[in-house]
Amino acid sequence: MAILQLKNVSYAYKNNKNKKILNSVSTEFEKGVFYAILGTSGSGKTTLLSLLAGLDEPQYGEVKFTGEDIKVKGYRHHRKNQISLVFQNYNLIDYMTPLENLKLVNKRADKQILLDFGLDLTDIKRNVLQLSGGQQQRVAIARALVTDVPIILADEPTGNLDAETADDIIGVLKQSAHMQGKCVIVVTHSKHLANQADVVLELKNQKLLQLEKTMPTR
Amino acid sequence: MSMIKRAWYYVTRKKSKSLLMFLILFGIATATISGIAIKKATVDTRSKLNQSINASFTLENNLQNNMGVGSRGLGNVPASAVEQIKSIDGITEVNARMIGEVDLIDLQKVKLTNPRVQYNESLEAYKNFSDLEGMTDSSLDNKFISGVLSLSKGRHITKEDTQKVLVHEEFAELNDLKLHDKIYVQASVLSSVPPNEAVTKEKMALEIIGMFSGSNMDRATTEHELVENAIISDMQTVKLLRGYNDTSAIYQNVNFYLNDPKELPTILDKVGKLPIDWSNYQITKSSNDYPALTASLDSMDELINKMLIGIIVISAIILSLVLAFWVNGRIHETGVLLSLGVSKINIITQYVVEIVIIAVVSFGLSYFSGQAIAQKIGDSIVQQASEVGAMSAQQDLGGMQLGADPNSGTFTKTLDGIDVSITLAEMGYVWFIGGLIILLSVSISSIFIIRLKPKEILSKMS
Repeated sequence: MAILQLKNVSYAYKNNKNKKILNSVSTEFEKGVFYAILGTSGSGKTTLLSLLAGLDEPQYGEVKFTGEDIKVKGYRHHRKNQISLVFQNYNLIDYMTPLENLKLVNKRADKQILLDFGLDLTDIKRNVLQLSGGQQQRVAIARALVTDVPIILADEPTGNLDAETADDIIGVLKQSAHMQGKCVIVVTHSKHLANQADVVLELKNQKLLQLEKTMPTR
Repeated sequence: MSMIKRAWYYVTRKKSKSLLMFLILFGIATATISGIAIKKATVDTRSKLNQSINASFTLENNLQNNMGVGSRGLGNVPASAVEQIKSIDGITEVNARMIGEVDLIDLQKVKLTNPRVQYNESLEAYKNFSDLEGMTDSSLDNKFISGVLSLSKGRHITKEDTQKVLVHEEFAELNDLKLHDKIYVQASVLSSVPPNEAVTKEKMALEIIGMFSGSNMDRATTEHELVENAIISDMQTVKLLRGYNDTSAIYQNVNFYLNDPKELPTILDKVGKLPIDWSNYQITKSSNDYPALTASLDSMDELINKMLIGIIVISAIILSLVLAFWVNGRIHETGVLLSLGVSKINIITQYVVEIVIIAVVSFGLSYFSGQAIAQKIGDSIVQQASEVGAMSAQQDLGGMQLGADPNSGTFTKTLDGIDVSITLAEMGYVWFIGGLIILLSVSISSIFIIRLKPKEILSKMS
């Protein structure tokens, strides 16, 4: 069974209801698969991710988690227990250290995961704003991974990073899907990132189309 | 991570923002605690004065029909009227006053520093003349109750005393007198009242049992009016000087005191029905003797109420504005926490806890700053209120000039001061009012967060 499912989802901006962003979109996402959703600027990629994350609700249709509409248990429940979000601009809490940012989502979070992600003991004790962009994104992904949630949603996670760091981050996301069995959904306009994904979808003309599909290499 | 931990991290790590909030809350708390302490001090002062000036009345000449005795128009309130009133239930104390006119023997009077009247022979004849103001209990006298005079050494005159006096400290210093020394007086040959055969012509030795301080409320025209030259004696001595016994005595006026100011109307009603010649005598509520004091208390009440309301309203506005910036400036953090599944109420509670953490320190320290400035603010308000009170009392007199003697001083007597102190009770009020302002301000400034969906907040972030 699909872990996450869009069923006939339609969405238009509040202030311009005539301009639809999504029009009766239906698709399914499975565990252990790394998805990339491509689209041009303004095509509605971030809106789609917000609907999947329970940050917004569709005007029509349903977003389902393991077959149940996410609004049944509540959007906050969905965000807290079923998904993790990774943003392009990292979105760390700026008055906390990397480890404290991890403890926001899991009180038992350990520094080991940060060490595994390439940060050293000094970095761990610093304020997150004193870290480089790549380090901050690693912390953001570590924060997404220290929870037990089965889905990672990422919005342009490599948008602000250099090519080498971007590849590192893509590798981490891939590993999360293939090694930990998480469902990783990334929205991006980066063809390079999309090439690394197991499944590539494109948001075009208010529809979500699958471009290619290969089974994940485990 | 718990909301309290997040709040603690924010307060301790965003030092400049926390310091700014500390200063604002500290200012608000200091102003509020000062306002509350001054308000309480005003209420206490009013209550004390109520007891002393509203729980008594005076029997005196009705000057419209009875100009009194002698060329000075001294009071002629008969002892029989006093006895009738004394017998009414509810009256607990009586203080009668009687003026004796004496010549001081081998004593100097305190001189006017800036006399309005030029020296002349008629004044020279009065250089030893003085009033000896007899009373049954000087502690109940209006001049002492109002604070025009205050006992600085020794004790008050009581009804058991005979041949005892209270003198002014400056008079004592001028004549090198100390407690228990004796002064000598003799019934004056210049007495304004008709001679009485029973008047003692002998020199009398009067023991000083107390000294008082105080100054004229208005500028004195003659030495006789100077508070420094006032001599207060016991009733037996003055009766002797004027040749009266207990039944033949006539008094300047008599004050009657009761325990409960609320009983005053009932008692006055009973007094009015007594067979006393009400065309020649009248009853005055003692509160009428303190028009400026009452007016200054009213003015004080008004000023402090306006100040307190002003503090609370301005504090709420300032805090709401600052908190609006505080919360709006954290839209990014709010969005992140929402995306992590933290509830809106949890986030807003974190902001409240942060303010409470800072408030604990600032409200606590306001106890000391309040101690330092509340009394000064209180004194300043008393001064303003007294000016308004004095002006109002003067207007009520219709331009009539009162004498500068100590007894007229009660009319223009205003509030000397209030004793402002800050206790745990005031701190409790500050916490209550401050807490309400914080809750109100955080609620107002958080309204837009509550209204928005997480995605809208996140889109504002980007």
